[in-house]
Amino acid sequence: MPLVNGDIVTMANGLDYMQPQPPRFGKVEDSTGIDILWEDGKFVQGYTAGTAFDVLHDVLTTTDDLIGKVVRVNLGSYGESPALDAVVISGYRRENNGGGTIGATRYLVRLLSNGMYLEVDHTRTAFASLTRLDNR
Amino acid sequence: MPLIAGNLIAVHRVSAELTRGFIGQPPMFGRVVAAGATGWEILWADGKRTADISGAALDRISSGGQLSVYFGKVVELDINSAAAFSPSGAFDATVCSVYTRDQNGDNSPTDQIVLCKLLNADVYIETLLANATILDNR
Repeated sequence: MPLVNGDIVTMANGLDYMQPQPPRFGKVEDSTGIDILWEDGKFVQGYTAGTAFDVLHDVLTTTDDLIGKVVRVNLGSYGESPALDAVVISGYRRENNGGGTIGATRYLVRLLSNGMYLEVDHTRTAFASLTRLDNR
Repeated sequence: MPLIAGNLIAVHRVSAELTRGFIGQPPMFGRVVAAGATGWEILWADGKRTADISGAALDRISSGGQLSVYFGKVVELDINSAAAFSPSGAFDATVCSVYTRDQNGDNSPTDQIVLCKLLNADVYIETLLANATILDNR
């Protein structure tokens, strides 16, 4: 199902690298337009391609809800570093253009060491998954 | 009662698919200036003006009854749906405001929301007041 009015969207793809800003979220005002009211109040009308946007869905399971936890970001064969310890501030699944394929849960984390943002697919093993740190 | 000129508003930040609205940014507040032909004209807090915004995309913001109790206090946030994963002390926060959100100004919401800023990260979280516990002596 393509974008529909009321969807919460963000720019397609995720923060696969550290970013100084969190993703900007918006609400679909008119899905035929495509008109989007962004979280900061900016209203942009007439986007031409819904594929530029991902519709956001809740995390799939309540047994894997890391929001609020301090985590360590794993870098696969490159190990991990305390400099990548982060607090999880949001979690969602992405669906490009509302097209029907909903991706895995992605967590938005903010690094404690430098304040940068990173979006991490918790289920991924090759690069950047999360480990919940006990007692933190 | 639907929105009227003068209402304090913010962008409605949940949908049928995304129900918790943990966005990590503070909401941008605005004032309803006037009704237009196809929506509302809004003056945002940063001076930006937009027209023809539908009421469904806007929440009317009203002060919550617990504002005087929670304002400025440090709270522990228990927002995680997996009880065994209770959030850490890194998620303790200062309460910036307490209010209700009412989509399109159509209802009389009773759920109060706290807007919090985390103590150790420059992150804002909105959650139900029921998820916030005031920490003594802080």
